[in-house]
Amino acid sequence: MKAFVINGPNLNLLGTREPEIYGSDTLEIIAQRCQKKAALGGFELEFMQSNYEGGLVEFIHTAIAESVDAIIINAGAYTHTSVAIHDALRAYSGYTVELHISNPHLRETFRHQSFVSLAADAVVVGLGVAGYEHVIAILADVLAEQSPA
Amino acid sequence: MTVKRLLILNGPGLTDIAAVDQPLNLQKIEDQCTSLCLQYGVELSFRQSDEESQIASWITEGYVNFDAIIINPAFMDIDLSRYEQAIVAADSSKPMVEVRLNNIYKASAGKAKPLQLPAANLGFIAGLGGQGYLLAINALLHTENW
Repeated sequence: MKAFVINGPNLNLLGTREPEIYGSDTLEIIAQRCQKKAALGGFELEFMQSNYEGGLVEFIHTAIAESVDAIIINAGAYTHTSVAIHDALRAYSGYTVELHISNPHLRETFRHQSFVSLAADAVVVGLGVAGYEHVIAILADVLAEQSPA
Repeated sequence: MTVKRLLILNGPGLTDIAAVDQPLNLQKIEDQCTSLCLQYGVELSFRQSDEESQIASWITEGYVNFDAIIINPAFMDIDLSRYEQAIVAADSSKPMVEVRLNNIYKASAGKAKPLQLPAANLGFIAGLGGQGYLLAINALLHTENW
């Protein structure tokens, strides 16, 4: 089993960007914690980030080409604008979890629409940066329950 | 250390899944939640009602007698205002997590809405089936104010 964690714009600034909303952990620290959880679950994980919409689309294309089992995607602000990311996820046949550190529905109305939600299997928001690890901790069980018995 | 108390509320319609022998079985979900809570010394009360007013009064009780609440409002097109009123009235910073078995956005082509309460300390999990409850419990266990 293999999974991608795909991070969008401004997530490279974690730790310094509005810590009252996003916490003080850097993306590097989050990536390390995720790798530990994935190792415990016995699967391979690749953690990536791009500030470019096309970069995120190409990460998804790589997941398609490599038949990656699951994508956890925090598309950042492109969540609310990107039909291209939505379409790429629609083309991906693996399991997709949309993730956000904060809860977009408790914030500005321009964050209430998500193109990613419409193409994702699951949505996890508002659990802070720990949300990443929590999703990875149960990912193998979720995929096992999804597959027909 | 005091024992943490967790209230899990399941709204209208969720008994239907209990009758069917399938992965999404409310009894199975309760059993999994109970065993995870036992492991961490969390006292759990797991409840279901088809009456929205009953859920609303449990929310009110929950903010008084429990340390955190997990709620599955169930019906996708349910009017959440009754629940939201109870949450607002509690005026509490205790954590709440909304859990949905399905991805309500995808299933409703973007029309469904989660609980929207800017003042509440609210997480949202949808589409992970029964595993969503376990994720919510794990998340609460790692929350600082819980």
